[in-house]
Amino acid sequence: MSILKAAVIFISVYVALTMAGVSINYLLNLHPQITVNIACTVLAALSIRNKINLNSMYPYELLFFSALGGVITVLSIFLLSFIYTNFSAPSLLEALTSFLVNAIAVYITIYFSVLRKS
Amino acid sequence: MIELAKVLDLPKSSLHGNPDLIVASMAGTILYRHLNRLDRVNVIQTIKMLASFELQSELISRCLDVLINPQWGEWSLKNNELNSIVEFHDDLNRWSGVMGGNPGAYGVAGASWSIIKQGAFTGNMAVLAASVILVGIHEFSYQETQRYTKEIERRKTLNRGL
Repeated sequence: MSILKAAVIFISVYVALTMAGVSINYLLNLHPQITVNIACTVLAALSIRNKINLNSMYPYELLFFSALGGVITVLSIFLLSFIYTNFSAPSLLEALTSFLVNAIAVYITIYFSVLRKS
Repeated sequence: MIELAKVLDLPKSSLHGNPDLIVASMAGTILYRHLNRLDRVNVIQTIKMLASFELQSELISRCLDVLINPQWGEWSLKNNELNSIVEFHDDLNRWSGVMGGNPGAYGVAGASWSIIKQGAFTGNMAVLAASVILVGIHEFSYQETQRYTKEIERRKTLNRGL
C-alpha cells in the first residue's frame, strides 16, 4: 500500500510540475517552451524518498520507481504532443532514450538521498 | 542597393558614391568566402575604390569576419550550410525537450532557494551554474535558429520574386 501511495504521489507531483514547467516557460519565454524537465524528475523522486526503505530487502522499490520515472516521462511527452500541435510525438529511439535518462535520474536521486538520510 | 545593405546590415548613411561600385562591392562581399584568391583580391580592390571610408571598412571587416567564422555572417552561407545549421539546432532542442535536458526556471529557482536557505556550498553553486549555463545554451540555440530561419525565408521570398 505504501508503494502504491508513493507511486500516486510521484505521478501527481511529476505531472503537475511538468505542466507548471511548460506554463513557466511560456510566461518567461524560455526555450524550448514545450518540454519535459529533468528537474521535475528529481523533485518528484525527492518527494517520495521517505516512503522507500533500501535496507529492508532487495531494493526492488528503487528499481520500480526508476522504471516508473522513465515510463511517466515518456507518457508525459505523448501527453504534451497531444495537447500542443507544434510538439510531435517521440519516435521509438527518443522514447527509449528518454526512458533510460529519466529512470537513471530517479535511481541516482533516490539512492543518494536515502543513503544520505540513513 | 538598399536591399543588399539590409542583408549586410550596413548603415544607410554610408551608402554614398557610385551606386554601381557600391552594389558590386556589396555583392563581392557576400560572395567573398566562396571566391578564389584572385577574385578575392579583385573584390578588395573594388571596395578600396569606394568613396565612403566608412563603407570600405564595414565591407572589409565583413569579408574578414566570414573567413574567420562563416556563421558570423549568415548571408555568406550556402543554402545547404544554412539548412544543416538549422537542423543541428532543431535536433538539439528536440533531444533536450524529449530527455528533459534543460532544468530551466526550476533549476535556477531551486538552486537559488537552496543557497538562500542553506548558504552557498559547492553542490548548490554547481547546480545553479549548470542550470544558468543550460538555459543560456538553449536560448542561444533558439536565437540562432530564428536568425538562420529568417535568412532561409528571406532567400525563398527573393527566389519567388525573381
